[in-house]
Amino acid sequence: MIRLEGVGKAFDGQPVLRDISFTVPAGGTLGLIGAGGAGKSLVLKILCGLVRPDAGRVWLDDTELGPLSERELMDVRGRIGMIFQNYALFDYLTVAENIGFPLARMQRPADAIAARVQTRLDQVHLPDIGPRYPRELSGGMKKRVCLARATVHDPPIMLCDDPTAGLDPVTTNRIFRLLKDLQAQNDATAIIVSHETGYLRPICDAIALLDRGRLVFAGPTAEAVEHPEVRAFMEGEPP
Amino acid sequence: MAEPTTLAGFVAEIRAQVVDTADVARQSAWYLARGRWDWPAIWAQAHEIGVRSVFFVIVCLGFLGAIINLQAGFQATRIIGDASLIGAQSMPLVVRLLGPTLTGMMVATRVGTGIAAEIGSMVVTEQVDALRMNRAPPAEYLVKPRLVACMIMVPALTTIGITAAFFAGMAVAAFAFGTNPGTYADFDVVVGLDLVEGMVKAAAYGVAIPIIASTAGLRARGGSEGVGEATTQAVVASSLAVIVLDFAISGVVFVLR
Repeated sequence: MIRLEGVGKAFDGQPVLRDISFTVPAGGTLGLIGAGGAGKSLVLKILCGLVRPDAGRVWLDDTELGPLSERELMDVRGRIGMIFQNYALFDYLTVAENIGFPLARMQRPADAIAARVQTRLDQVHLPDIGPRYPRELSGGMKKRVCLARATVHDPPIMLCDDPTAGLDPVTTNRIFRLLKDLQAQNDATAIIVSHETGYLRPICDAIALLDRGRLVFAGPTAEAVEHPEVRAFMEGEPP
Repeated sequence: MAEPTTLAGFVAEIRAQVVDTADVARQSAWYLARGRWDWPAIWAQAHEIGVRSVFFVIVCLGFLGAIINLQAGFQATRIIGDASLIGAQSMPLVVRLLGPTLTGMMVATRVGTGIAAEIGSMVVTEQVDALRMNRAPPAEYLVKPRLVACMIMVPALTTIGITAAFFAGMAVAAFAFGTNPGTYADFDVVVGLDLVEGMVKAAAYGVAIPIIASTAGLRARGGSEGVGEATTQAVVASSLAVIVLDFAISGVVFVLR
């Protein structure tokens, strides 16, 4: 379960998020949409404790993040798989080392890591690229590697920041299917930030719309498509 | 990191830098005491920081030793007509001051900029966030190997640099002024406290430079411009730290003498 209650954040005195509240039940999938700069990526960073909010409270399952120290947050983050907008693959490690990194930090045995990495590479349809470096991959391949790394430790929570930004429709479709498969495999609770509303609707139980740091709507997908502002956004109408 | 436009903004920026540096130093100390020891990463950094700086240090300190003895020899010959004591005159200066401090400056420019640029580019490409998501705190995973490597390699480079300055100075003294190498190498003029002062300074720079440069990298914001600013900030702040530490340690040793 993911829950935000009255979350606010400002940078240099400028409010970026104001009074954000929503809940994603365990095993649910929320699609977080909104124009660029609305604060979607910031919501994800607050959810994993990379940024601390100025106001409000955040829960992941039964754990409230606010009172936790940075070292306590590390344990919480071990329950999260995060897909970054800009891949965030370690450029000095091979693809296999990147994917195995979360398990290596958990001090799992090397042979178990290698086996798990190969399983994930097979699942993302990139079985032979383990020895290659991220700089040798296309954007779509990097996203799939990022997806493999985010899910290699079977996290119960998945946070995906624009996982298909800049990708062609075929790769976008493939990434969304992989996301859904891996989420179903772990029965994970997920939040997916994306502008691909057509792909989001079938895989999300709920939709939330952010506009300039304010939550305009958060509710079931069926209701979202009837909401005038969500509908306008999805159809590309200016606010 | 927007450029501060007022005096108050400038003071606030300096204060923020000092607070962040203290925080990185505190976390690094914690991980030095309790964290994992990633020896392959430490040796890789020791190679990058130390081994790859050896040629640079030998050339610079060698020329420095030659220049000091050339100038000292000219003056001694002109004033007292005898350059036999230039080794005794220059060696304590090189051991106590110029050896460690110029090596520190060279490490600050060559290594400090490298550390800030590498960590800064990892920050702006979200790699540092990815580390934090995967139980790899930057202070442990990024700063600690660089800190340990600098703590080992800066005193080692200083020793190499002093040796280069000594032999280059000896050669200049012998060829330019006819000073006997045995007379030049009068080790009685270097007392134990001189060696201690030189090595304490080198060790202090070995701690300060990676902490300051890593902090500058971790404070990088935006894109390549932010990385550039972090790099500049690293070299300015770590060079300043070398000078301030030199003065502070020299002052303490002066009181102890």
